[in-house]
Amino acid sequence: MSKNNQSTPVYIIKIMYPLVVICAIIALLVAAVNSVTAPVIEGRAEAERNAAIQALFANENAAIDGETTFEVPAEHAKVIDKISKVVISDPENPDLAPEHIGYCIQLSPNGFKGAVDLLAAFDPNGRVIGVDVTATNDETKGFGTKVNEPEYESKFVETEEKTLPETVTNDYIISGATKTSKPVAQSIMTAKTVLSGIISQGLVEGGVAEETDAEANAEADAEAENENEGQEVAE
Amino acid sequence: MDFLKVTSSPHMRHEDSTRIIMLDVLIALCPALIWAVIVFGARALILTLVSVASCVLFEFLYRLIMKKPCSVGDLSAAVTGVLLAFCLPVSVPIWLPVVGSFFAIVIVKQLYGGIGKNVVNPALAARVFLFLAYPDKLGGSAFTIPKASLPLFGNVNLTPDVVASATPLANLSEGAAPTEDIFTLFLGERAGCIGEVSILMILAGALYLLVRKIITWHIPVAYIVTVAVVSYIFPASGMDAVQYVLCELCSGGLMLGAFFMATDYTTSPVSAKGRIIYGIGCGLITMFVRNCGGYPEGVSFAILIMNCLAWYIDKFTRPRVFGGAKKNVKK
Amino acid sequence: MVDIKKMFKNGLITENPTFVQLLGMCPTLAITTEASNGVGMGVAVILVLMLSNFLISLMRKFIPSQVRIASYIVIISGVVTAIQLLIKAYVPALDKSLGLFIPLIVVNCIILARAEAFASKNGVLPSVLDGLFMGIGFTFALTILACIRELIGAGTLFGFDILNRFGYEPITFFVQPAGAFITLGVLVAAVTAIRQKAEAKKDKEVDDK
Repeated sequence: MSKNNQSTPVYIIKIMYPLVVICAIIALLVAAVNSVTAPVIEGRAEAERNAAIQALFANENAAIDGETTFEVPAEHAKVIDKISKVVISDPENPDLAPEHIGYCIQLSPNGFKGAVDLLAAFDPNGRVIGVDVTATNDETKGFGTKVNEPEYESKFVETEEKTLPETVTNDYIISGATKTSKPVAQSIMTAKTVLSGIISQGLVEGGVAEETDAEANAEADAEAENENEGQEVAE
Repeated sequence: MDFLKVTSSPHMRHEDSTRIIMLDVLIALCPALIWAVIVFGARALILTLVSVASCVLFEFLYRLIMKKPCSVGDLSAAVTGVLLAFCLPVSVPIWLPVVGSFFAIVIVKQLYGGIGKNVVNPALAARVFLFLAYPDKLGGSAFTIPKASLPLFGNVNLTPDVVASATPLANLSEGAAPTEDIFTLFLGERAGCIGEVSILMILAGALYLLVRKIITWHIPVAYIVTVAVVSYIFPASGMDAVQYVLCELCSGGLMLGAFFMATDYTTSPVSAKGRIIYGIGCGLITMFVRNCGGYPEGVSFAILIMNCLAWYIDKFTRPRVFGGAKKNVKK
Repeated sequence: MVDIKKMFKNGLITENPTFVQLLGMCPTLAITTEASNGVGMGVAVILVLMLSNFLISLMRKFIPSQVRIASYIVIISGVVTAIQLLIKAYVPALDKSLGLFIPLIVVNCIILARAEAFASKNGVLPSVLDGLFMGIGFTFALTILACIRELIGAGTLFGFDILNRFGYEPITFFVQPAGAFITLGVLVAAVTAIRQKAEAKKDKEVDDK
């Protein structure tokens, strides 16, 4: 194979320009498809999230308040995706300020095979009122997938008598699915701790409920640090 | 060109001589079987018989359907059946050994070419297969207390009063001492798989095999000594080292595996040096899985992994050709 | 000019991508845990094969041979990306079950092999048909494998309970990777045995003549 003209610029351009043309054509094609499909995909993802939130807060008008965002502490950034405020807007009175009914934290801890996406719902005081593990994960069917079940999800709901510990205890581990259930449980407990931190720092803006929050939390801080934060009655 | 084969053991494959060897193995397994019936009831015997019958049946049917000469007479299928049953808890459903037998005989043994050609130990591979297929039936919560009364044929109800709180090995893997004392562990009045509980009975059978020259001492001794040494160096916290060593040796399937499974001719090296290396490897992997792995029992995985490496060990421990220079051995 | 019957038989049996050419084993083993996955992946691959073969055959005189592999990859990845976006938008259930393996279609050997072996040397219509029939053969192989694995490993078929109602306890081993290898191995062995018998019979007929 003679290499006479093989490194001249003309030769290289002659070889490369079809490739460049093809890249351009393909890019146009993919861009065209994307412009059609992207809104559909995004709309569906948002609808799913809202459906989950509405189920967790038992109110069909509940939605994430897009205007308020909270900063996720760096050390938990891998597990906590987004901390948001949840509000109820009255469809019949759109001018009324939406009512702040709690918080919703999107989590994605690493389970056995990959990330497990879940939503943790909190009331305005930072008490867990519900957990929804997104059912489409890669965990082992019949074992790891037990975290999807309402039986497991309901373990995290806090009441007057029961609050979540700060680190995982055996009650929250599913035997035979430790590698899935332990990170999931720990992420919820971490989320609660982080949220309590945010609430007690008074980072919430606007609305009536917050004052009660700040007062109540000031009292709680005065009493004891690590005691059950969800137990004082705020409303 | 059958007369020009260069294969590993067993070389003398006339049905009679294989049969004699297998018969001896069956005899050596009898003490453990008798003890199993004493401790676990007649259900143990029924499971063993079902396992043997289905192994023999599958081998017969496979050879018939694939138009190959019938090899059932060499009793190797029967031995696989007994060993497979010995690896299961007594509470498994009666149909479970049948599924395991199919896997052991058809997939692990016959599809690779029949006796002498399988890569891994069929009974052990089937045990691992069943463990992966039915984890709740072979896992920690399936072991019953010794002398519990269990139905003969029906399914066992794993109620809390029948299920053992934990097998000695499960206790050890949590870092606690087993609830039984050494003598009980040695005699075998504990929870566990059908054939593995009684060290005394297994040793009796192993002694018979050694006397009859069916197995050599290299693999079992290398295996057991390695396990002892490793557990002496790394005892569980809070336990006296010697006591811990004895507990590790007498718990789980170590003795059954070391004497009856690891010594299988087809899947272990031929030379003495190779066998010792193989035994040490088994011991190291067993202790590694027991101490660092997610499962309490490492014997089955250790033996299967070393089975896959047996040909490699053979390659490196080939004895020097008589008259040949040392260099030539490398080829 | 184009022998459709022969091409169909080629793609389905004689040169079946999975059982004979042993191409694209990775997605074959990974996604065949449910029969519907097998069909879904198969249909996606058919679309990709047809489109990429079409484009490559169209441009075969335009692409210099020194950059042909790079060009094929660009074309194939563009097609796969477009199809992935469409699946994500309109068939999200399939996207969830196939997951990562849709973008991995780009490196599925079948597509590059057909591009190199057929589309770069033949006209547009034969290339598209070749893509179609190879895709059908692949779908066929995937579906059989997935049906066996789902039936033994979960007792269902396409999600419908078939065996569980009889008290069958599914052997979950078969919907796990190890079971995939064993099932595929047995299937390839069976297909090879059938092919060898057919060839022996053909040889015998030739001898007899």
